[in-house]
This record gives sequence, C-alpha cells and structure tokens, in this order.
Amino acid sequence: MRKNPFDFGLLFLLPGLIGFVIFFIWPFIISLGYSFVESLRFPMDKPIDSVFVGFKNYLDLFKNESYLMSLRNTLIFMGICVPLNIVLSLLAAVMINKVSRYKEIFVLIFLIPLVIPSGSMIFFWKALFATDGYLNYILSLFSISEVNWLESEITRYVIVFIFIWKNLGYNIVLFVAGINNIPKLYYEAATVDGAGAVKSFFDITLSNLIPTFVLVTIMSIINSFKVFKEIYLLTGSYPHESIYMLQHFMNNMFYSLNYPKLTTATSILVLIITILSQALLKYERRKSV
Amino acid sequence: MKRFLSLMYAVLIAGSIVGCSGETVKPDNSTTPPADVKSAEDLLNNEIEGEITVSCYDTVFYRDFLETAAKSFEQKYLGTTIHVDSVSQMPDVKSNESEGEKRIAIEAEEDAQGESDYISKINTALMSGGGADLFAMDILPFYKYAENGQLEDLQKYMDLDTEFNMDNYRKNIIEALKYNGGQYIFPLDYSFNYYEYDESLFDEAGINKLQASESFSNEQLVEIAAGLFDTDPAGPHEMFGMKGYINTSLGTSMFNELFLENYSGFIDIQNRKASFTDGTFSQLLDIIKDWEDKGYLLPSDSAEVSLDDFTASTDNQYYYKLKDNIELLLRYLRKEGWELSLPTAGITPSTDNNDVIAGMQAVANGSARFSYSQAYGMNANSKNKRLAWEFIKFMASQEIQETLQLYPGSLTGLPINNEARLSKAKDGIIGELFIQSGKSSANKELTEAQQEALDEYVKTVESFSDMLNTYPIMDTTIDSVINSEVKQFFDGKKSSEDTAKAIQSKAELYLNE
Repeated sequence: MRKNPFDFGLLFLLPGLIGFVIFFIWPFIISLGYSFVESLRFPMDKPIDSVFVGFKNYLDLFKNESYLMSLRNTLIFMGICVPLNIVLSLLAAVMINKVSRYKEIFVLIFLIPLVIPSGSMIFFWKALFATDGYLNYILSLFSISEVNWLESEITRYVIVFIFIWKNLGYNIVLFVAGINNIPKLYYEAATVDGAGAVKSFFDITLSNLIPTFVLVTIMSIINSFKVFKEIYLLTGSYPHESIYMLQHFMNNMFYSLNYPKLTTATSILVLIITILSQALLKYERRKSV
Repeated sequence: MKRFLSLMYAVLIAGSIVGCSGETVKPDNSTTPPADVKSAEDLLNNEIEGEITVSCYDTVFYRDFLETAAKSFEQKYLGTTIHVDSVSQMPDVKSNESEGEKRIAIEAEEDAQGESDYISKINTALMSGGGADLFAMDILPFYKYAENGQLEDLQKYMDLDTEFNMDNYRKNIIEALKYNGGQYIFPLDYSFNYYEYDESLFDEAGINKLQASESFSNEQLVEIAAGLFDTDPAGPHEMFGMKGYINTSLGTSMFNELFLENYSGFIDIQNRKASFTDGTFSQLLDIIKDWEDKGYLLPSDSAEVSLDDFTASTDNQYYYKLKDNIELLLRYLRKEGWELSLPTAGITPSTDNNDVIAGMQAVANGSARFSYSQAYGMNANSKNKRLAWEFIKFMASQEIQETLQLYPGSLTGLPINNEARLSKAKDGIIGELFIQSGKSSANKELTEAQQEALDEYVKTVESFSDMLNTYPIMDTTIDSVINSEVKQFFDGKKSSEDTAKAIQSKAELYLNE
C-alpha cells in the first residue's frame, strides 16, 4: 500500500504560487531587510554604504510625529469605517433578503460604485465638496454659511462617506450569500419554539454569519487602506491633517527617497494586518467549533 | 515552522543588539586622507572618456544650452558623448510686429503633474541604481538628494583639481549654495533684483532718502513714498507695477517678494522648522491686502497680459520698479537709442525715462538674495564621475560661458565665471547680446563713451554682486502648499489667520516626515 500519494492538485497551484513568491513575498523580504539598515546611499548595491542598525529605524519611526499622526488617523478611520460599513451592509443585506422580487437588481445597484473607476468619480466629489460646490450652494439656499468640506475636521467624515459609498455593495454581496447559506429549517424550528423575528435575527442569523463577519471585517480593513487613492486624488499628498493616512506617509517617503522609513512603515503595516487577520481567523475557528 | 520563526526572531534580536552596540565608524584622525578624498584624487587622474547623461526637466532654459555645450565638449574631448535628456513641453512663443518693432512673448505654463512625474521618474531611477550622471537642478529638491547621499559633494573635486581655481568664479554665490557644509550643486549663473524709482514722482526729501541707502525692503520703500502717494498731483500712480498675488510661481508678485524677503523666518529647511503662525505671515498677507486696497499695487486677478496690453501699458508710471540685473545694462543701451524691454512675468511694463537706481532688494537680517537659472549636481552613483566633473567645469569655463547665451529668450543670468562675466558685459555694452533685435555691432572696439558705460556697469553689477549671500532653499512641495492656500486668501475664501494655520499644519507635516 502506498503511503502519502502525491497530490497532483498541488501542481495546479504552482504557477500562482510562483507568481505570489516572485511579486509579493520576495520583494517584501528584500524590503524587510532594508528596514534594518541605514544607508548612506541608495540603492544599497554597495554594502560599504549601508550599516545594519537593528531596530533603530523602527524606534525612530515611532518618534516621528508625521508617522504617528498617519497611524492614528488610519486607526481612527478604520475604527469608524469598518464597523459602520459592516452594520450598514448587514442591514441592507437583511432588507434585500426580505424582498421577494428583483433581489439581484438591488444588489447590482449597490455594486455599481465598486466598478466605477475612482479617477472618474473624483470630478464629481470635487464638484460636490468644493467650497464653491453643489453642497455649499444648497446650504446657501437655506442661509447656512459654507463649509470647507475638504480642508477641515469634517473632511474625515467626507472620506468615511466616500468609503461607505464605494464599499457597501461588496459587503452586501458577502452578507447576502452568507444569509442564503443559513438553512431555512433553523428559522422554522425557532418559529415553532415561539421565537420572534428579533430573537431569530440575533440567535440564528448573526451566530451563523460569524465566518462571513470575519471575511467582511478582513476585507473592510484591507479596503480601508485603499481609500488613499480617493484622498490622494481629492486632496493631494498633503491633505488636511485629519485624513493624512499611512499611505500618504509611505508615498511621500518614496518621493523623498527615504527608503528606510518607507520599508519600515511597510513592514509595520504588514505586521498589523497579519496580526489582525490572524486574530480574526482564530476567533472564527473558535466560534465555528 | 514555529521553531524556524523563533530562530529567525532570535537572529533578528541578536542582530539588533549588534546593530545597537556595534562598532561605529569613528573619524580617522591620522594624516591619511579620507577614503572619498583619496578616491576623488584617483578619479581625477583618470582619462576623460566614455559617455554621460545630463537630465533636466526644463526645456526653455536648459536644453539648448546643454546641447550646444555638449557639442563643443565632444569636439574638444574626442571619444566622449554627452546625452541630454529633457522632458517638459516647449513653451509657446508668440510675436507681433508693427512699425518695425518686434515683440516676442514666451509663455511657459506650469505643469504640476509633469513635474511630479519627472521627480518620480528620477527617484525610481535612483533607487534602482540608475539615473543620469548629472542632474540639472531646475525642479529637483537638491537638499533632499544631498541629505540622502544621492548627490556627490563637489567640494573635493574643486579642492583637488589643479585646473580648477575658485578665484575665477563668483565665490560668494557658489558658497551660498552650500548645504550642510557640502557643495552639492554648482551654479552656472546668477541674477538678482534691485529697485529703481521714478524720479519725476518724488520730491527732494524722498530722493534724498532713496539715495541714502544701498538696499531697501519693500516696507521701507512704501514708507518713503506713502505721503507723496496720498497727495499725488499727477494723478493716481500705483506704487509698484506688480500685482499683490499671481497664481503661478513663474512670475513676480508682491506676495512672492515679501515672502522671499522674510523666507528664512518662515521656513528653515535645514532644521525642519516652519513658523507661519507667529503672526508674521498673516500680517504679511494683510499688508498686501491693505496695499491693494490703498491702490499701491495692481489688483490681483488672473487675467492674462496679452502682447497688446503690454504695448498699451508702456507709458505707465510707477513709484518703484523691481528690476532684474539685466536692466542695469539696458539703462545704458536705452540712452544710446535702443528700444529694449525685458519684462518679468507679473510686472507690468512702464516708461523708463525717469528711472534712477534706488538700491538692492533687501532680505530680512541684512542679507541679499540671488537666484540662478542653471545649476548642476552630480549623481553619487555615476559610473563616470571624471567625465561628469569635467563637463561641469567645461560649462562653467570662460570658453563656454562667454560664447553662449545662458538661455535663449532671456539674458538675465550673469555668468559665474569672472572673465566670462566681464566679456559678456562688453558684449552687452556694444549690443552683441541683443543680436536678435537686429542691432548688433560687429565692431568690438569700444568708444570712449562705451568704455565709460562699461566701467560704470561693471562697477554697479560687481558691487551689488558682492552683497549677495542668500539663496532661499525652495521646495516645490512647500511652494505648492503655500500657493494653493494663499490663493484662497486672495480669493477671499480664507482669513489670513486660517491661511497661516493651514500652511503651518501642512508644512510641519511635510518637514517632520
């Protein structure tokens, strides 16, 4: 009897794996290496010009005010956006699920923002939020003084709005799929046992959606980092301090040729995302058992 | 796997300890020259051969000069090749001709995206070990490249190269461009501004005040003329023939002038400090608004000045005119019957009949500011530094500086090479610099009057040049932040305090990154 027969399915994974290693893992390992050295000259093709400094770059980064501001803003933004996006998309998914006809059309409507290129939407956002834009025009009709939507503390919420607008549909699709996977039998049994709609929602829908929640949370966290594209196109490299994100810092470090700071910030970002997703997956596994 | 990770972690920690407590490079106190000086010494003994690339963004001021210089260099040093790489669009050249007069306007538009793309391209090339051998410092933030070790410190070449004699150049200009003690860029020319006043608009007391000093700040000038302006018998004349603000960094406006006058107080790039919220900056904005309201300045609007507007406004009179150093030469030529006018963007043309030199445009703390139109830095990763240095030297030599117009369409740059500057002054007095206008003089012998004018011109230029000691290190990112915020102030969308706060926050963010 043959032991451990070779799984030919692995061969099909190979091309993707090779690409992943070449284009993601290998550059990351190189970039991780850069974060532990200080160079007098870039590129570091001459070892004589770079000095191994251990965690110095990491310690320096945590003393850098701009970096700390970008980290704080990113965490605040995630703290607002991720739960808000999850709650709103869950509500929308539950409502869509209640609709008996044209369910797909509703899902499609929510998905449209996802396929519109950010670049083309920026013109609209600019026209809407500019100091002499449509929103301020509407406010002026009610004798309300104009608001600087893109250059004040309120800007953070403008970006939250844009993020929700763009990403709601994606989460709705995941939640609709998750809800459809819950056997109808559970609800029927609960009704027979006298459970109301609210109790069924909390005890059946929510508890059976835990794997979907984990996936939605991970995707929302990842997507929240991608909001940089919109912010950058709307407000440039140096926006109002409330929306200066980690990606601004990293992008600006590239332009400043500050490779140690860039790679150190990238490594920390990867570490944060890894820890968060691992924690969420662990939580999911525990709940699923 | 866990074991492997633990091992990796342990290795990292161990490495970190070594990194923190490891040996640090101590300065060598022995008599042996430092390694980089030694290598520069060896390098200067190499043959001048091979090829280099010179990269510039600007096509107006740099490319033609570079291509001509490259051709001459290749002829002088056979077997060498100089590639010139430039990216920006050629400017629009408009001209009109009437009654034998020809007017030419060069319109160069700002292209923020193009500039950003160029910087990005250079950065990517540098990070991957490539990049041109020489960079024209037209839009690149040279201090950043210098801080990151991307630019070669040219001081060692200047010190070790026996063919290079610093006494042949304007030392104060070259040294004023040092950054953190290193000579990372080498200028080919320099220019400065000074003020002239319209004698017919001043009384004797005013003229005496204007003749009593060598340099003036804008506020001092306003103070001298304010009383006369209020009781102007000849009708309303603006104090300055410029606008309070123009939405471009290519021209001159009172905001630019006052900002640069106090630049070191607002931005200290070397120490990463921005000081816009101590009240000085908002006061500066309010002063300009006040001067606009009083009619001292032309109103800030975005209307373009056409060639016809230019023609129509040549009879205007202003109390003061900010002039470029080339005007010192034009003053003499006008007396000889030449009709030449080289206006700067943002400054409205006017009659020059009654203009008298007031003095140098002063900068806070008694300094005097200059600018350059061309300067070059050497890529620290260049594979042919010998040739790159030789080409810089060649561009700064008397041979090339006196035969070339530093840049076509404008003649304001004074050569950094002393002999070339003198030679160009002579060409200027006899009119050879203005060949395009059709009034060139083939006769290089100076008449007595021309010799007198040349002596006077050289004396004035050199005495002004002796005062120059400040080059504000500009940064395109900070400039663009300031420009966009200040525009909102002049559009009436923001108060001066809010503008100052917004700039402070962004400039601080940028400088602390």
